[in-house]
Amino acid sequence: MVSNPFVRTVRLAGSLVILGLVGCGKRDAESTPDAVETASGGPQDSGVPAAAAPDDGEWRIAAKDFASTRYSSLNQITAANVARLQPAFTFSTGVLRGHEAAPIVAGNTMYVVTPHPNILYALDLTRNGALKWKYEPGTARAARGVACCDVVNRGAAYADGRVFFNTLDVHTVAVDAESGKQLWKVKLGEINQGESITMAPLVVDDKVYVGNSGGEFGVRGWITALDAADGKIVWRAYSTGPDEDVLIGARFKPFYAADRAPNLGVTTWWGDQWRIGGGAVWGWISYDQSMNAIFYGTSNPGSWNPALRPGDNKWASSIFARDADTGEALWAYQWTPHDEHDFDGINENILVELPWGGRSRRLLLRPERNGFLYVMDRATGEVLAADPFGPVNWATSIDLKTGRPILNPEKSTENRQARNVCPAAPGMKDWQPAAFSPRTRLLYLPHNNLCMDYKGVEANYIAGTPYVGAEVRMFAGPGGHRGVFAAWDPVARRKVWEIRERFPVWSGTVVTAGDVAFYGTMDRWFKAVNARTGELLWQFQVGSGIIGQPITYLGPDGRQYVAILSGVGGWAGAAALGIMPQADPFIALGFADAMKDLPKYTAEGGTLHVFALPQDGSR
Amino acid sequence: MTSRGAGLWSGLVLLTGFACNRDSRPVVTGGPADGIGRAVVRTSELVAGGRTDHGSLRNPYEGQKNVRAEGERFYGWFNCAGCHGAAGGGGIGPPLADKDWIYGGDPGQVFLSIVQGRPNGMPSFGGQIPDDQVWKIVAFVSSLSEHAASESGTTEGSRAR
Repeated sequence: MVSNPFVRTVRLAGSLVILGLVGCGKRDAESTPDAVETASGGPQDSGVPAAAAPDDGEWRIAAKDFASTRYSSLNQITAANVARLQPAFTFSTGVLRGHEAAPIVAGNTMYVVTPHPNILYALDLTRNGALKWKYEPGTARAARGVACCDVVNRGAAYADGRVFFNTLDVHTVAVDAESGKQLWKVKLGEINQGESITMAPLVVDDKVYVGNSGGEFGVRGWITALDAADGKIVWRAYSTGPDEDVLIGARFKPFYAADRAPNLGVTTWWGDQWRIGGGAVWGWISYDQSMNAIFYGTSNPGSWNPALRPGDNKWASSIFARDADTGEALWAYQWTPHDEHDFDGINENILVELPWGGRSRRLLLRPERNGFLYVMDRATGEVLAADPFGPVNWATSIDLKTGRPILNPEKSTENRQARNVCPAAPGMKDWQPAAFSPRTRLLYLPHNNLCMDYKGVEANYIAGTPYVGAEVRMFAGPGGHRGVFAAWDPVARRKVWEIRERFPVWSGTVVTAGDVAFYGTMDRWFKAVNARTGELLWQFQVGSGIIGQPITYLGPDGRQYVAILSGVGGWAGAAALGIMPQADPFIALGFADAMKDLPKYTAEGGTLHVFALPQDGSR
Repeated sequence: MTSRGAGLWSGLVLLTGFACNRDSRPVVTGGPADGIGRAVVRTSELVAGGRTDHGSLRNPYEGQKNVRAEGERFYGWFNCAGCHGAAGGGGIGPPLADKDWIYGGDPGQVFLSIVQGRPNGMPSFGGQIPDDQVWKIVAFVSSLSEHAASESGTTEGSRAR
């Protein structure tokens, strides 16, 4: 047991009261408190009551399931025994830079995709992680020049004997999972237009969903569905431009009236700016089988200088619900109209069914970069609640009648410098994905506590080079800590506990039926905490700062394992990659200045770490 | 293309007009000939055959400190600052405000890095920036590391909690 002075319990008693209320929901009245339905479907369907559904022990996609819960019903490792966790094996990826990927596990093999050059390793779990094969896609070196925020990759996806992943030079690859032989490789964009890909693809049935990166390079954002058999494009939907390009048609029914006008992807921009307006799709995609719909967010508009792009700039910093087969837009909602602070809108959307307003509703939970935690009706796109989950001062609230934020003019960056804007450009939470436990009914949020000064400057568009237009300098938010790992009750709409960390918590998290949540820190600690109280139960110092996504799986020997990649980098870790914030406070888009002390804690280097309980039977 | 973008490109056209005077080509001095009369601009300090003579291209603006400000303007204008930082602290690209040069810090080496591009992400600006403006950028870039510390030294780690 390790004590941690940073743990703070926030109204734990209150959350217990709410858990009681939850039991009044229709479905829950006849089941255990463990039974919260998440979106149905998925490689491992978390949509059934956790107590009744044995986990198959695999981890086939970064988000674990189509509902993006990152919840595992494995329960060998518990809050009571996790303190005995010890290393099982490690593996060096041979790659420096930021390792943001989730390892995936299918059958008896683990697959790890590295940052550029995007090597895919297959490790044999029946032989303690021995290397089965590695596949090298031959990613163009030049692609490193169009990666705004390190050359990261967020993971692969497994389906039907194939492993799919994306490369920084804008290709998607399918590899035979057994042999490592390439099945197909398709080029989807052009680095000379500033495009790249860093996201983990989602595979549903016969389609692979992929989107581009490059919101800081003046790209035009898109998502595309590929035929899993051969990589051919089935449909592609742009985030900006005329309705026909955005795949907005007869089935488009946004909840808010102002969003129903035609061609908003053109009319909310000045001239042809939508052609280089961003709205990239570099984050997470969720899937709801009952609606046959995908849900995903779009990036900030380009450039970062709002004075240069009058209008709402749709559909940047937005969310889309689309028909998974045709790509037709079902609804859309813009988190941050006319973004003035780089509130990129690509975070994960967690699909759960919870009691809400006296009945059970199919919800979409969205811890948004702009600092608000949105609860939405995923069928209609209605915002049911939006609460700050940390210090927010750019807006006072979200108007639920219009869906628009109520802005604080003091924090506007429109033709003026704004000081002490909270949250900073990486948001209250960036890409680092949260988890949801149906047992505790809590969201587990790895996130940031950063504020910033922000000033728009000139931006020149030269294809293939940065198109930013802002001078940003970040610093720790109120309290002086830069990161937080928190548990949030989405029904009670409040924080239950939080753990403060020195650096932004840039790793993902996983929560298990053993009521343990795992996450990593940039100062090299991999941690297990009690999912109900936030108490630190175990920690292990790994080789480099952690910005990866933990997973848990059942090994061929029937034991539960926990895996995480270490390897500092990413946007948050830029200061550890040999740059000089002491000489230049605005570099790394303003992040490095807030992280000047990071090199005192960690150096680069990618390593897979796998942990298990000792085999002495004393579980 | 947006009106802003169009403005930039018409700017480029104008700038290219300035570059019509191709006689302002870099002066080649002191280097061994490669057999066809051009200097060898090396990007390695290790030279096969044990030779220690290094060719170079001289910056036509060498010694003219007043071009640095102009170079800084072009450095921002052509988005060099977007990757290397306004003060050369680095970011997407490596820092320029230190003494560590991957492809060489001599003016000719920096000139060629800009014009040719480099394989790990440095775009080639050849044909986009007139030579005289590249040389002004080189003058500014060279000034960034004037006061940099030497490459060796000790950095402290974190103290125990």
